[in-house]
Amino acid sequence: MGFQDLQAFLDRGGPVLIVIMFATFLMWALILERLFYFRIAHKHVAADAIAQWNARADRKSVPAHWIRDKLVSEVRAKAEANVQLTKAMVALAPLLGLLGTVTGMVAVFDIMAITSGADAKAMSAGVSRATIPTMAGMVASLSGILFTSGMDRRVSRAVQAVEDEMEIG
Amino acid sequence: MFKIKTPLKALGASLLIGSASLLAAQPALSQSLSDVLAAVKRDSEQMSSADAARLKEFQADTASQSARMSEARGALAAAEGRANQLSAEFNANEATLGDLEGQVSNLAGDFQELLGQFRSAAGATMPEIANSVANFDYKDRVEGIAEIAEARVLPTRAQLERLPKAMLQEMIAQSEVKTFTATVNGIGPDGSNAEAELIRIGVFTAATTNDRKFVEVRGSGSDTFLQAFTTQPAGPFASSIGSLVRAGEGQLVKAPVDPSKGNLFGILGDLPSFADRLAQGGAVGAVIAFLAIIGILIGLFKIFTLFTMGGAMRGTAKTRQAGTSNPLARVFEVYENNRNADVETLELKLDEQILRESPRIERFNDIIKVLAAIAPLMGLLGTVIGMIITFTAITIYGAGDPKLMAGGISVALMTTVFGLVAAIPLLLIHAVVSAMARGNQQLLDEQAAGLVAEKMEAAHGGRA
Repeated sequence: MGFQDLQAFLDRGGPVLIVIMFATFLMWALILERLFYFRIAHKHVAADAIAQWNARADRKSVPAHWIRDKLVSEVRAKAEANVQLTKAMVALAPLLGLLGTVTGMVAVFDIMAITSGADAKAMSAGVSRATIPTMAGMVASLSGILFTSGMDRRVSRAVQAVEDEMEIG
Repeated sequence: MFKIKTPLKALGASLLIGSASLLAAQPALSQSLSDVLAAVKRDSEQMSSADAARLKEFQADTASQSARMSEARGALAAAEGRANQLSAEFNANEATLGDLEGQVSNLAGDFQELLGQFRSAAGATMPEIANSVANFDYKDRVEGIAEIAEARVLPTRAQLERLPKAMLQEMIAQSEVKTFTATVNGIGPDGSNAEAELIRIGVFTAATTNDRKFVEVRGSGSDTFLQAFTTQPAGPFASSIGSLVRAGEGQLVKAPVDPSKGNLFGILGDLPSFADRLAQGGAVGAVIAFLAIIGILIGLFKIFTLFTMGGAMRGTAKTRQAGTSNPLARVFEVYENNRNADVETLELKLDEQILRESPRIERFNDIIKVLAAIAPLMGLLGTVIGMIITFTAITIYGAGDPKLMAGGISVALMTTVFGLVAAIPLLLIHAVVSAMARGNQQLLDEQAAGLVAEKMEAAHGGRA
């Protein structure tokens, strides 16, 4: 499938499909960023926090607990970054698809009003504007769900692991 | 009354006069009869001499009359002779004419049929050329062809050549992109006709170069004129014709072409504009638009305040400077005020302060969420209302005319669109705002205690 085919596909899907395309790109950029974070950067962040804790002389007192909470919270903040936004993008994709459906229907009715009748050929442009974004929105959302559904668990497990490493006393 | 009386009076008068004359004749009887006889004889002699003179005169006349008669007869005979001669000549000419006509049709032969074909071709091509934009560039083609198409005599070779030339020129014109000057109706001030410079793409699309108004060919037959569209195609069409006007020689630009020579642009003008679409949404659409604007304003306000608050808090986290400007500084303020209290009291005081700050961070977040949830629901409400309008129309007018149902359907569809268009940015904004609020909240919840602890340790030096 060459660039020409892609352009033809985008033309048939109408403007909403382009919005869906960019939303999907953004969603996948966020997902990949998270995947790479857990694969590469998280280890260093966790090791740093644990080293800071282990370097402390006092690991018993109430202020020491406060500092432990602070270190864990920093790890959590880094692990949780963008997760919300990624999930919002996943939720947004079908909505954008629905928007495409409705604008496509509006286009169909416009054609019906202009040609004042059922010219199936003329309406087909509107129909493809209705169906292609719906499909694209679904596909984008489903592809994102696979990666975002486990992400919360992954974050809490990673944070929990760091917390467990920081022994008290 | 008077008119009737007057003749009666006259009659009376005449009767009176008549009787008087009879009375007067009585004395004439006294004349002698011989006198009378002599008088009669004298009269009769006189009359017979006059008669003889007249008779002589008549007899003389008769001779001259008969001479003239014979002369007239001669003229008649001559005229008849000439008539015969001319009629013979006429017949001969008639025969020659028939002969010649026969010769002509004989000689024309297939050409006669060709001429019929030529005329029908000219008739078919003429409106094509007359309705072409290029016709206002290459003028006087239609008149030339019309002359041949309507003439009943054999056209000359030069006339015959006009049709293929015009067709060829039209073909060449289809491949051209060029500017020309022509009169456009209704383009001048107060809708008067004015000369304008136009750019045309082939014979399909033309627009004025200075204010980029698309024009179409109106009128019928050979009486056509250029007129600007009442509703101009906007957006990409206007901007691409602009880039075409600006483009230099041989440059490649994207330009709009209407292969139907104006029909599609006309339909484009019939399409509802953005304002029409907004109006189609009706009251529900207006409510959704209002909610969306409120939600987006709140969201932008929240993003701005959370961003500045987060920046200030991160700054305070580095400097550990107590103050009242941001939540973290206020937590430090609490610590500074209670630095001599025992740890439990300090913890309670800090928790209390953090609890007090939370609502400020989270404020309005739920409103955005609720608005994001309400917008599609409102859209659904609009859909149902639109369907009710549609079915009411069907109940009243029947399902025969789809245009009567169009109002309800456009309400249904446009409110759904509005609902989604409002919900999508609100959802995004809510995701961003809640992520930011969560970050700030976490900074305050967990970091505040840690930062205070670090500050305590630093203050007490190596003692801890």
